[in-house]
Amino acid sequence: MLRAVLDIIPIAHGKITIKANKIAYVPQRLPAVSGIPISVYESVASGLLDGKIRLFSKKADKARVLQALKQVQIEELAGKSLAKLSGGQLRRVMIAKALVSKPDLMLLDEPTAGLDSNSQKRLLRTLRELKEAGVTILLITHELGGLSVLVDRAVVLDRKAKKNISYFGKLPIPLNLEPESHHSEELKAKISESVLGLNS
Amino acid sequence: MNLEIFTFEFAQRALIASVLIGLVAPLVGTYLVQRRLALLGDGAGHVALTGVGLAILFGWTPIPFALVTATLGTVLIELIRDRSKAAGDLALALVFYGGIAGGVFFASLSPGGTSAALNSYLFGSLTTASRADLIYLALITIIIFIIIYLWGQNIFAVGIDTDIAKVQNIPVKVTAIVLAVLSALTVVVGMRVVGLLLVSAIMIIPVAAAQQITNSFKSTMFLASFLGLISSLAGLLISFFVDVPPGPTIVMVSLGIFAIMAIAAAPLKRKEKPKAPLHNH
Repeated sequence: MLRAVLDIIPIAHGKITIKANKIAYVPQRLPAVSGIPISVYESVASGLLDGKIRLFSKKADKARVLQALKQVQIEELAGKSLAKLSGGQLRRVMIAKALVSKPDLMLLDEPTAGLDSNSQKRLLRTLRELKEAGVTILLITHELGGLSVLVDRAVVLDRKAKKNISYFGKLPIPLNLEPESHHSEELKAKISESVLGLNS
Repeated sequence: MNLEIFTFEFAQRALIASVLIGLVAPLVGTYLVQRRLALLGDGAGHVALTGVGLAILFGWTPIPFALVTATLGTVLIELIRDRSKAAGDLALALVFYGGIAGGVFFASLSPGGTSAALNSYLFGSLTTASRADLIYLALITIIIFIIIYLWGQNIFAVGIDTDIAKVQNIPVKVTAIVLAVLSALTVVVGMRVVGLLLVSAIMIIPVAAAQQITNSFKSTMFLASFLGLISSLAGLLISFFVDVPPGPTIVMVSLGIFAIMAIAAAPLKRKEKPKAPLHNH
């Protein structure tokens, strides 16, 4: 779904408007680690690119990369090859790569997938700091776990429900969620305006 | 070893041409291997042969013709591959066959009526690089360096993750075409010394050797370039003293270096076994 939001894959109908200057995306799949070795530093530094030609690398770039690594607590891994990292460490590298561009909208696809409880706590801390700094975070997950304390609005997708949405609102999600019970015109408007349009 | 041969101009030209290709081919090859396009250079080499065949037919200088056909061929492959990977694979195969067939066909139509003239372009030659050729090759090499300097980071980022690159506003399609053009340019630089059939090997084998012991993309590029230079110079020297074409000799040397690096790196790899990445759902 995030790939559709980002216009990487086409949407069947409707329109998605994103009002953000800098977007960062953390996909669910971990980076391929076979083939040419890539260091953690190089991977994160590639997040600084914006499609423009850079004649010279700036001194500030290095500081930003190191800062992003520090935010996810893997600064000691900067020189290591991605191939030598664990799944949790790779996930943090991807988040650092997203952070380095200083985004105002961050999209994360299953950010806790494959993370142990310590790594999940670190991720929670990082996301809380980002939220406090004013970054909008849109994340998709099958299991909210500790992240639920950060959520302002949740949308529960359900294939059986009308419009495939069975809940929209604040947490906690009602336990006895009736798939058909939340489909007023008001909800529809809210979803298209606030969720898909990301207008707020 | 008697190095007097390098007092001759033809040997000096061959030496300079081999330095150029030895340095530049692995740089481009690193991006090709990262994007799993190791065979694109081969495709470029094959289709460049058609350009050489046309040049022989009309009595023109082969390098510009090879440059045009190789560039058109690789860009075409890339455009087709962008639509469908399976179709891209097929396009690569068609370019392989069509390139060789076109080269032999057009060269055979030339006044001499023989395709033997193609041999020096297929496997490289010590004596064919003229002064004008060398100027062309040096200019093309400079262009390759400039493109890598200006656009290399974008090629690298697309190689890591195409989706993220798109979100970063990196023009992914343009970047793919730039890499295709780089392959074509490199093939043309190598066609005089290494030959069109084997030039792709000097783009790929030093990279395969370097990545045995490196930890980063940049170090792989630099080490591969160094190994390419060593292979190219050593191969050229051997071919001066043993009567064999330089292309196969250079490739044999680079394969030898790869074997040594792979054997030397094996204990290191066993020692630093990665933790298995966690499963993606």
